[in-house]
Amino acid sequence: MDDVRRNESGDPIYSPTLDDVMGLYPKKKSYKNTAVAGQINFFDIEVTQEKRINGGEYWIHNDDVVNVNDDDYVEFSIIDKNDVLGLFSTYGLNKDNGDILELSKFVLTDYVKKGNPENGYHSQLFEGIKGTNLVRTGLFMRAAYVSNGQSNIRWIWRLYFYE
Amino acid sequence: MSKIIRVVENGVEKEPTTKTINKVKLDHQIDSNELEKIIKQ
Repeated sequence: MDDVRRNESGDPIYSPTLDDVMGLYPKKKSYKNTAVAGQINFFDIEVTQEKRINGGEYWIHNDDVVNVNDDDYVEFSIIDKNDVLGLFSTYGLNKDNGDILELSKFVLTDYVKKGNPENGYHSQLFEGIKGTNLVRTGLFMRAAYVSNGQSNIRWIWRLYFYE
Repeated sequence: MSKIIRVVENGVEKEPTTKTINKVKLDHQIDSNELEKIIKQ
């Protein structure tokens, strides 16, 4: 018997730790966006190289924290826009209609705090050194900022991953 | 009134829309290990 954790089908469960990253390199990348006031803002980034996501965080620009509405929130998900996984027909979706398949949502309704205007606002969305999520080439990472305020919000979101 | 849904794809601003995003949440429909197997295929 080996010491590899396996699921019910016998497939190994990959959970990279600081001691074992499966030969991949830990990386991080930031994206800078402006959320338009009063709108649902989706920031989609296409995955061009397969990666394992293990966490993320974001900052609200210090000049904009005073404009954050109490009902503003952030979400993060992995979506299929181009039927990369071939599951659209199974779920009655049609790419030509602009349908989108949401595969997984890691961050749900994470309300944005006003924070300190001198320092901005920082949120550690999730720490994932105990596990990762495989994201295949062609899928999209979707960071969402749902604004209920009157002013635009500048923010930076950073992704942690293995590649 | 519905919110405008704004999509910025790979840094490029798409046409704003009020169309409801058609999505299916698989969180509770496909086991995560099962989904990983699909992704690996």
